[in-house]
Formats: sequence, C-alpha cells, structure tokens
Amino acid sequence: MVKQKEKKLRVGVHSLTGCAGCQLSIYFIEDILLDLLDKIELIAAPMIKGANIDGPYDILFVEGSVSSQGDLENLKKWREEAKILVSLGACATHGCMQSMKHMMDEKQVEQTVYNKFPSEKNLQPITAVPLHNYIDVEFLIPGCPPSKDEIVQILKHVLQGRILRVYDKAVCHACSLKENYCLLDQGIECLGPLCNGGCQALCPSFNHPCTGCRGWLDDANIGSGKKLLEEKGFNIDMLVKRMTKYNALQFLEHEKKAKEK
Amino acid sequence: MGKVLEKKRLKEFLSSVSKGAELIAPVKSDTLRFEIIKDFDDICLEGRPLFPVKKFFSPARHDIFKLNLADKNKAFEEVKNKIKPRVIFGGRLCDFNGLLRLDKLFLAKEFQDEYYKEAREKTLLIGINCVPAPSKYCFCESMNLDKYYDLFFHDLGDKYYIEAGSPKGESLILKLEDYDFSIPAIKCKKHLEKKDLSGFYDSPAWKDGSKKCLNCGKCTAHCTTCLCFDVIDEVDADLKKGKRFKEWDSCQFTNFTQVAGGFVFRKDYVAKFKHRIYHKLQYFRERFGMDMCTGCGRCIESCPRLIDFTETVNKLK
Amino acid sequence: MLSKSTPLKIVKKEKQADKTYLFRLEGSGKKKIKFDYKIGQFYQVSVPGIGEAPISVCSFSEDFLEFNIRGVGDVTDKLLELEVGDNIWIRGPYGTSYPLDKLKGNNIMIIGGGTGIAPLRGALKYLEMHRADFERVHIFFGCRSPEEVLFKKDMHHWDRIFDLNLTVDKAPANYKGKVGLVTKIVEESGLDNRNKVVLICGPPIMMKFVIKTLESMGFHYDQIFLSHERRMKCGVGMCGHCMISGIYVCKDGPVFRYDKILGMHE
Repeated sequence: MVKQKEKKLRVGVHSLTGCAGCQLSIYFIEDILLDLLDKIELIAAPMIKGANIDGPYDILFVEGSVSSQGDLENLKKWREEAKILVSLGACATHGCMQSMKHMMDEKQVEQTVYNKFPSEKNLQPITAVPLHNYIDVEFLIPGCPPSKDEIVQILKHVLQGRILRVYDKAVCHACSLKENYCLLDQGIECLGPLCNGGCQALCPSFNHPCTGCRGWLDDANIGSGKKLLEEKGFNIDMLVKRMTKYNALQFLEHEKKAKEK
Repeated sequence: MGKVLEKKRLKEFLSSVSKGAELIAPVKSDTLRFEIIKDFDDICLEGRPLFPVKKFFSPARHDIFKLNLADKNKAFEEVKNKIKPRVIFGGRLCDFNGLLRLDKLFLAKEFQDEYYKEAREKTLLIGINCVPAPSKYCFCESMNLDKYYDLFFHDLGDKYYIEAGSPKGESLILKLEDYDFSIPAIKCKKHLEKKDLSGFYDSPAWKDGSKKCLNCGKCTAHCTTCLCFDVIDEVDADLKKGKRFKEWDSCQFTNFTQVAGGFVFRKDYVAKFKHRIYHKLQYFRERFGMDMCTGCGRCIESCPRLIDFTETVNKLK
Repeated sequence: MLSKSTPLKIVKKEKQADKTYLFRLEGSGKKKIKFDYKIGQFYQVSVPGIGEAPISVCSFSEDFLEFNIRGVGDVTDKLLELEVGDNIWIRGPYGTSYPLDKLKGNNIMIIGGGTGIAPLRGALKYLEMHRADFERVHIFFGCRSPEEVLFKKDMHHWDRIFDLNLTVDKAPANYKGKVGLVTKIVEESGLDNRNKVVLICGPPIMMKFVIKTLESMGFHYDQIFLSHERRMKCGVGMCGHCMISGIYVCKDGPVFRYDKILGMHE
C-alpha cells in the first residue's frame, strides 16, 4: 500500500452513531502506537485531537452505525476521501443495538425515544444498518469493543500491504485451545459455537458467556444452536433477544435462509 | 507378573521417578486438566480430563521460526525447543494409544517433527487403568487398544498393582514387591461396531449425524489424535522482526480447505463430518493398519450437541 | 518439522500476463547450485512475515529453477513485488511428478488451462530434450483471453516442434486464433487412445470436463495423469489441509494417475 517508505501512513478515525468506545480501543494501544508512530500519522481523530485535517486518508476507521441522514452524508464523504475504509466495531460491522429496531415496530421506537428529546427532532433517523449496506468497505473489525490486538494487526497488515481477512472460526476454537471449562457444560448460556471468534475467547475465559459481539459465523447453524439452548433449559425468548443484541440483521437473514430451506 | 505399591507411598514413588523432571498429571480446579504438578496433593485420578495430553507433544500454539525480515540471507532462525524431561502420571490407555497414532505422522520416515520427537523421547508414560470407564461416552473397549505405556497402575483399594510396559518402566519398579495379579480389561457402556466404511459413503445416516453440527471445532480440539495445524506468520510492530508459528486447526472449519482466490473444496457440513470420521476409522487404517480413534469419547462429550458418531456408524448397514 | 527455507536469487523476471510473472532463480551464493527437481513437483515458497505458498516448478534444468507466479493471494501478491537481485525463500521440492522417463515410446498429449500450463512447460522442455524417445506430442492449451496466454515465446517454439493447439475462452472479434473451451479443441483433434498418455493440469472444473471428453474419445483412466491443487501448509503430509479421501495431495500427489484416485471423496 505505502510505496514510499519515508511517507507516513495517514490515518483517521471518525464516528457515526455509537458509543465511541471503539475509538478508545485504538487509543488504548498506546504502547504499540509508539512503535507505529514513525510509520503512521493520526491526521484526524476529533475525540483526542484539537486540530484535525480532512482527508485524503490512507486508512480511515469509522465506528458507529448509519442511523441518520447526517450519518449517511458523512459516510459518503469519508468514503471518497479514504483509500482503505475500515468498519470499526459491532455498530459499524453488524448494526449492533441500534439495529434491534429491525425486530420491533420502527415508528413506535422512534416516537418513544425522540418524543422525550424534542430538541433532537432534526436528527432525521433512518433504519440503523452497518456501513457496508451503503458503501464498499475494505475491511471489517467486529467486536464490542473491537480487540486492540486485532486493530494492531490490521495496521501492521496494511503497512505490510497484505490482504485483510476477517477471522472466521468459532469462539469455541480459541476457547478449547485455552482449555477453558466449557460454560455450556456448566449450565451457562454461551453463544460461542455460533459466533465468530478472533477475540481469543475473552469473555468465556472470564466465565462470562459469549453474546456474539463479533457476529454470527457465516455458516452458523442457528437452528441447531437454538435447539441446543432449548435442550439445556434456557428461556429461548430471552436468548433470541440476546442473540439479536448485536446482530439483529444477520439473525433475520439466517432465519430467512432457514425458512427458504 | 507385576509389582505392588502401597498408596501411602505413591508420593514418594512419584517424586523419585520424576526427579529432575516435570511431573504432569490430572489436576482438578474448575474442571479436570493435565497440568504440571506443583503439589502432589493436587493430583486427581477421578475421571479423565476432557482435554487430551497431545498439547505436551504438539502444543496448541508453538513458534517454529524467528523471522528477521530485513536480513536478506538469514530471514529464518529456528526456535530452539526447551523441553524438560517429563513424567506423565494418570494418563489413560486411550491417551497413550493416541500418542502411538501421532507417532505415525509426526515421526514419519521422511519428515519428522523435531519438537514432537524430543518431547516423546523425554517423556515417561505412567498410566492408570479405568475401573469403571470414567465417562459414559467412553468406547475404547471397541478399539483394541495396545498395552502402550512405561508403567501402568491398577487401583486395588489401599494399594496399586503396577505393570511395566517397557524396559525403562521395568527398571523403575525393580525394588518394589512382586505381586500376582492380572489387570482386568476396561468395560465400556458404549460400543462402536467396527466395519469397512468404504461402501457407506453415500448413506443417508451421515446427514442425520451432521445436521446438528455447529461448525465449532470442539470435537477436533478435544480429540486425542487430531493433529491438523495451520502455519501463520506474524510481525512485530516495527515490521522488522516476527515469527512463524503453528496453531491447531480443524477440518470442521470452512476455511480449512480454502485456497488463494477463495475457492473452498470441502464446504458441506456432511462432507466435513464424513471427512473427520473417515479419517479416524478408514483412511488412517488403510495407511497405517490401525484406527486413528482410541475410543476416548472426548469428541462426543465436548460437542455442544453431543453428536455421537458411533451411533451414526453403528446405523450403517 | 518444517525444514528451514533457503534463499535463491532472482536472475530474471518476465511479465507473462496481468499480475503474472515468470521468475528464474539461481543460488544466492557464489557457488553454483545444481537443482534436482522433477516435473510436476512443487516448492513451498516463502515471503518472511507474510507466509508460504506451494508453487509448481515450471522449468526443467539443473542450473536454474523457474516459477510462474500469478498474484492471487497474500504470498503471491508479495512475490510479484520482488525484482531481479532480490531473494526468494524456498523449501522443497515436494510431491510426485509426471513420470515422463517411464512413458517413453508413447504419443504424449499435454492439456493445460490457465496457470495450469506452468508445470506442463517443464514437461515440454523434457520432451524437447528427449525428442527421439517419444512419438508425437500434441498440446492443447486454454487461456481466458489472448492477453492471458502465458509463455508466448515458448508457444511459437512449441508450435514449430510439436502439434500445438491453443484456444482462448473469450476474444475480440479480430482475434485470429481459436475461441472456445479447451475441451472443444481436444475433441476436435479426433485423436484416439492408441499408444497415448495424457498429462493434464488446470483448474478443478476444467480437469473434470477434460477427463469426461477424453473418456468419450475412448481413453482409459490409466492413460491420464493430472495434477491437483489444494490448500497446503506443511508440504510434507502432516498438517492435514490437503487431504482428500485419505490421500495427501502434497505427499502422495500433486501428480496422480487418474485411475489411482478415482472415486475420491472431497
């Protein structure tokens, strides 16, 4: 990607609708950032910098989902300015909480929320979706929050000029390699077998069940997964809610596919 | 004829045979795992760990080369193994038979895995008999396991009957008292009907067996003999140095057979399921004259949906 | 387990098509290396810090080694960035080969598609060097478009000394050569199976249909040798990625006589 070695990689970080926690994951890699700083230059990061330059960016991280007309306009502008645009975090990659609207009556949700905040009337909400529903993205870093190791790896891969690949093995893989005592065997409703790993099974390693913040596996067998949770005696309504916490859109798609079969 | 050891002398015996070596045995914390023993009292011989012993011979993640990206002539530097002598105590017959299978691949005539080879040479295997079978998923009785160990213990209440399986093992129990006993065979509830699978590839039974599969790869990670691995390069943040490491992989993942350009050769759940079972019960036998499965039942017990391939195989007619 | 890779120096880099280059490698030190590889074998080629990929030999010489590399992934993309004078890291050679020395006295049919032509180039070099030992040599090559025809210089040469049949899948209207699938030109040749051996290499789907065509022309499976592509990590029959029906493509292949792998399950 970077042909002239002396030229630093121009990196930007921008936000759409979200909690801004994903940005923090970038700033949390400060120990490694120091090593990378002679190779990259953070030209726009409104959260931590006073002076921010508009593009062009060699690599632009965008967090948050597209949830308003304003978001969409910003996103389209950034797309034009960025060579590599990376969707950062569950909102940008999967829609996250905001997209739970897809499981409910959208108008009702909007009224309930925005009637309380009349000053925000000009928000012009649109159905919350991940970035790639509107634009092409070069890469996705899922997770809520995204793993800082993965952010570092992506930066390294971009600097190396490598093809970026989304990790696509189940959470169970890393969990088994670590020899964690399976939470499902302990009667805890873990979604690990259905969900994309790449997180080093962080939550299950601390006895916290996986809730799928990195999205469903492309070939997740959700039907069998539901059966499993039912058989274990978990409340399936509660679990569907949990299963759609981050990935309502992907879940609906899987359900649709299952029905077609 | 073997020897006998009073249980109260076990600690003394183990500390003498593991002098200067790491002692590895099952330890119960939240669950049972094979671990390096720090305190003899941690050893737990109730049940068999769901995680196999293969990690001591082919670790889940293991550096092979240090990379010097800038060095035009010496980019690769072999990582020196630092394997201490070890004693594994409390392994089961299925565990040690698993090593016999791994030997076939990692110690093949043409190419050998140095880490595995060194670890094997430096490890003393002390097994314990299963009375009763430690899990309802065990079916080793169907698998004709070999008496493969240096020493093998059998619980006689207040003492252990010990049999040697190698000259090395024999030399370790010379001083113990002789004892006349014959170790009973392991009895399992579950059985696997041994059959030639070559004619059953298109049987609908496979589909039934695989439709519950979640693609999570737990079966292969917990398997005593699954050894497939990936080789991955990773660079440091300065992009000057890095490493090439090996990590366990699984034939149950879709990208296992993906080539550059994106094409995946083995995509279906059924095909992946069949590949795993055929490898265990057919392909390996055709090549090495023994099944790759040792009947430990770990793949069934660890599967979130308890997919039981023995049921599938038994159904084939 | 994985033997250490050794560096070879790039002495020639020649563009073949879009994102496709032919690299010639020699020993990187002062001393000349004598190469001992067979046609159809492959090397594991490394870019340190990126990874390793299996690449078939596309030459036949003691003095040098040639790879035809198309940028289709992490490693191959990076290899294309290397220039004459740079080093390429290799280990090998691995796998089985086209047993040409045992096929003497036969008519040889060579059928290749796309980058699958590369390993067959070595075979043609061998046939040229041992021309008197073989009867006729018929070549059938298929490429996607006229621009993607590999080894154009060699093609002219082969056309002179062998029976070369070249086709492209798609071409502009003014293209003078043959247009259509490779199966078509094989069929049109009207050759029978007498005293013939066929060597094939190409994408899985192409090989499947070529074999069907050959079958309909009366060829037996034991007359056909083909080379398989699979994901490989170790190259020495350990890592498991390339296994099909218990056969390690890296070790038992990549070149198989077709009757030996008949009915293999993916």
